[in-house]
Parts: sequence; C-alpha cells; structure tokens
Amino acid sequence: MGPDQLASLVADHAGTLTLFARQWCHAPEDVVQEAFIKLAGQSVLPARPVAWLYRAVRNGAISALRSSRRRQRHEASAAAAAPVWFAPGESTLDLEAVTTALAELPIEQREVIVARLWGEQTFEEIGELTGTSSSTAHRTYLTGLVALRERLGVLCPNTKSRKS
Amino acid sequence: MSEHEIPEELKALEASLRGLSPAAAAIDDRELYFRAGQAASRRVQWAWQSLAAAALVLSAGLGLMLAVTSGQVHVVYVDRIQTSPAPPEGLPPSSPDAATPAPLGGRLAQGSYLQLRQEWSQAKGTDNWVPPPPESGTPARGLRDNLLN
Repeated sequence: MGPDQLASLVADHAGTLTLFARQWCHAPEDVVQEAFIKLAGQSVLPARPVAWLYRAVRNGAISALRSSRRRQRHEASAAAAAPVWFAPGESTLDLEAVTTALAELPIEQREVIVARLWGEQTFEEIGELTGTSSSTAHRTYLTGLVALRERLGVLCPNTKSRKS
Repeated sequence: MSEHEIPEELKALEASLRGLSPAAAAIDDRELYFRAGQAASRRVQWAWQSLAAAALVLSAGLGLMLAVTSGQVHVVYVDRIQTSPAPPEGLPPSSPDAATPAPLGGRLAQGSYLQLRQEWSQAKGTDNWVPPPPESGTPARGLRDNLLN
C-alpha cells in the first residue's frame, strides 16, 4: 500500500471509524490508528480495504473493551459522559441529542447504524462484519432507526428536532 | 421491491442522520504515518532477514562438513586397462593364450582357467617348461606303429 492511498483512507474514513470504535471503547483513536498501521503492514492489500478496516476496528475496540474490564461502567455512563460524537453539518438535528440517543441503543443496533449511515457499508458487508446475515443486519438497522426516532421525538417523517 | 428497502417513514430520519458528520478523529497523523512506514519496512526486513539466516545456516553447514572431512584421504583403486599393440600385417595373430591380458591385482575368478594357469605358472615356471620326453614302449607308441604297419 502506498502512502498516498493510506493518506486517502485516513482522510476519508478516520472520523467514521473513530465513531464506530467509540461504540465500544473510550480510546477509539488508538484503536483506529492501530487498524491503519495493521493495514499498512499487510503484505497483500485486502480486496476491500474499507471493510477490512471496519473489521479490524471492531475487533480492536472489542479487545480494548475486554482488556479494560469496564464494560458495565461504560454502558451505564455512556449516555451521560459521552462527548459529542458529531460535528455540525447539513443536518438540523441536535448533535448532543443524537449522541445521547445513539449511545443509549443496544450495541448490536449501534454498530449496524453507524456502519450503515456513516460508514456507507452495505448490509452484506455489515452481515459479514457482525457475523450475521444481511437480512438480520437490515432488521437490526430498522429496529435501531425506530428506536432513534422515538428517542429523538421525531413523530412523523417530515418532523425534525429543532433543538440545535 | 428491494430486499433491503427502507420504509418511507424512516427515510427522512435516515437522511437527517446521514447529514451529520462524525467528529474529526484526534489521530496524530505524524505518529500514524511513521508507524505505518515502520510496519511496511518491517515486512521487507523480514524477507531479507530470512534470506540472510538461510544463507548463514547453509554456509555454517558446508563449513562444518568441510572441517569434518578435510583429514580423510580417499584412495581409489582403478584397474589399469592393458592395451597390446596391434600385430604387424602379414603375421598371424598370436595364440589366444598369449593375447589374453594378465589381470592385475590377482582378481581372477575362483577356479577359472586363468587362475589355474597362473597358479601353475608360479609353481612350475613357464620358461623352463618343456614337454616330457615320450617314453619308449608306451601303449601310444605301440598303437602308432601298429597303425603304420
């Protein structure tokens, strides 16, 4: 892998991968950095580097969570202590509300939503990532979206939260 | 209808969420690229190190083999091929017995004609051999005389 390709991957996916890793651990930047370094050390470039990165980040984040042995405390305090996960963009949604609502979802729904919405992974890739079928990933995604809609108070398709 | 279609009531929320940008990752670019370069070069180093280790093992093995076998002298005995000059034209070839090369090293088949002849020659001496004179009054002479008569 050339340095230009690595730099392009970092520029395009580091933020989303960090958000993805943040679903498990408190130091997502370290996990993402290690994933990029592992990718650079591969003798053969994976066929789908982005999907490979998501898998590496997921494995690294879960390992970090296990090693820290603070899963219970992390899950209990995730909603209250989590920093804002998003930067202001085109959406009018409240950043803190979205962060809180997303953090309160079960991890199975969170990882699918982050990989699909911001990681732009297909449901087939998400199924491979999570060890489920694409249909299961799709159902989990819809369930998470419904839960987010309820938490954000979005009652109808055209209603948006105006808290920001 | 697509297998993974999103219901209409969720599409607006999906679009709004997609409009959010993940916060910038606080990754130290310099450290990342430095360690990535290390990882990539480590892969190349591994190949060279393996090659050097293989060459070292091979040279050590050959050196050890040379040190062990240098004090030994191998003597190989090879039978000399005896070539007799061709007889000049006009002369009959010598008798088969005379033309037979004498094997070297005494390597004759046990009980063979050549071995028996060699033993006999050593015991009697071939130069002094003369046929025994015919004895008078032997049955052979009497038979010849009878036939001539």
